[in-house]
Amino acid sequence: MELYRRFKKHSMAMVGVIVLAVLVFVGIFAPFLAPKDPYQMEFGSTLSAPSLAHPMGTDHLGRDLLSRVIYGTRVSLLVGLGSVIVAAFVGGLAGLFAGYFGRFVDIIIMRILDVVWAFPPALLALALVAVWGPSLTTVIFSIGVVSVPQYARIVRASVLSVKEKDYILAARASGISRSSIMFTHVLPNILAPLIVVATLGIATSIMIEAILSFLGLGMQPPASSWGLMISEGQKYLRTFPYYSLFPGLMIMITVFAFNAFGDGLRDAWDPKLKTQ
Amino acid sequence: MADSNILEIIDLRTHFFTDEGVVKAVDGVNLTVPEGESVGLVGESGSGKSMTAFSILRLIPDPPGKIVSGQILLRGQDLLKLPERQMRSIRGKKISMIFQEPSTSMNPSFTIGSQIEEAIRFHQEGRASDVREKALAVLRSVKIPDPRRILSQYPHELSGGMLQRVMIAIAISCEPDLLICDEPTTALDVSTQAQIITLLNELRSQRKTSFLFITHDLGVLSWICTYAAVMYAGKIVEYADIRSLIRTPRHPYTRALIGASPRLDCDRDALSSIPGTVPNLIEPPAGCRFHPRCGRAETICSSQTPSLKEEERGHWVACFTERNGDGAENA
Repeated sequence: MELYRRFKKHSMAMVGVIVLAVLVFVGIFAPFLAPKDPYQMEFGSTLSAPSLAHPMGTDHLGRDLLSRVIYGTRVSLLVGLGSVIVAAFVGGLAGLFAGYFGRFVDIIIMRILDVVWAFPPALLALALVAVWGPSLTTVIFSIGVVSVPQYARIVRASVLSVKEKDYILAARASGISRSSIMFTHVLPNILAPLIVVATLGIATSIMIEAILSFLGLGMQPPASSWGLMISEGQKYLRTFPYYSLFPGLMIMITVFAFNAFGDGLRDAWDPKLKTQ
Repeated sequence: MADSNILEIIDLRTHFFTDEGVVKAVDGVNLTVPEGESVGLVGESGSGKSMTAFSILRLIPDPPGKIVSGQILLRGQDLLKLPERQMRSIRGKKISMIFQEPSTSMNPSFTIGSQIEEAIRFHQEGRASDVREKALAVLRSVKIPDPRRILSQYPHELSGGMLQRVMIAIAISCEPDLLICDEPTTALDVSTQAQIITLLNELRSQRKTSFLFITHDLGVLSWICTYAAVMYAGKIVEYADIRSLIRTPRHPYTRALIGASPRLDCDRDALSSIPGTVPNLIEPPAGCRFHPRCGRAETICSSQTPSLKEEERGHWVACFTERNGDGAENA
């Protein structure tokens, strides 16, 4: 409740939440909201400018761009959420173990993750998709894998500070085992930064998905993904900019909404701002 | 010392292996807690009081700390030889600990109730409703008003004094034989201090729990303890019953410590202070560790280490000058 009250003061974050709510709604009810079948080709009206029949125009195969953008919301949100869940789960556990047990556990886990960390994320994701073959699942997992070190680092750092707290020692003094302290006492106290980073991470994941699809190693035609649509529209950029413009705008809005939401959460959770 | 001892520490050495060298935080401590009695452990900050307590529960941060040698006998059973698994069933069940800062010793993410219940559940079988009843009962026994409401509150909603009561409730929830109190009143204001001490005294007489009470406050010490040990630079320098320790301190350090505390019953303008600082425990002074600060130091003090000797019945002192001065060589 306290958290909600402080979050509410952050007007940008509230805008973000509303935009996200709309996006999620659009994603879930895409079949009902899309005016046309996104795969239906109309060769009579290819690359037509926005009109009443096609509010965003049509693509080079005469498919309704609005319907394709609406269906693309699903892909972006799925990839964004899915990859962050994978990354936060794996990275969270890795960071928890590394931070809590320290010493050689820490060294082994963190050095392995440093190797992953050393590659530019989009490039590594690209390589992974190339190996596993492009599909929704592999895109989610490869983006998830490249984001793991980020979560592990943040969780590890939080664990390092939490595990020195008196209440951890007090729990040990009352006979509770180390492993149960790790999950019942340490974990709940590090969730806040993890959730904030995860929210901001969704935006990054959506960007990487767009990059992968743009480069042809993400979602495959005829699926509708924003990144793929920008890529396909690239050829017609001079003559028909709407093709790339609308999916590009959608990526921008979505990324902005997640970032605003994440910022708001971070500020609401930051104890230093509590006094305000 | 006494016939039946609940806790006996024999030549305990706890060292910290740091980059600067080995810090001998606890260096050959001998200490006994007689059954049902309350033993105080006094000393300056950094004298190794808390590390002695953590050694008993085997909660020394490792690395860098390590219990190098010694024995810690709980009713004759050496705790240092127990596997970690068995040690866990000792912590909280046989030996509990109360900490200095009640406000940071509770997990901020959970309610008071869930934290008391967790401690109970860890050591005892029982249905959820029984555990809750038990939690209520221990809260009542530490005289918390409206315990049912407290159960569902979070640590930040309670005052320091209340939280310390809750900490005591958690500590006694499994009816331990020995309760280690690590400066439990230091973070509280004076009137709350008095309430907590009274509460602890009551618990001791009702439950026959033995206490190891760590403090640097001689006033608190004389109020709750029956015996007291004075610790300096990792060693026990004097051990006696509380009366003779306060009235007739034998070790120069104890005398200085008592001289440095304010008293109501005698008129003094200025409190005395002990010259110098607590020695560096990486390279402690040779011989008696107090000799560089001691007004009565002799040549022997800087070359040989005095051991704890029973100078009078039940009054143990580790000092050469005391032995010569009083001619108590026979002890």
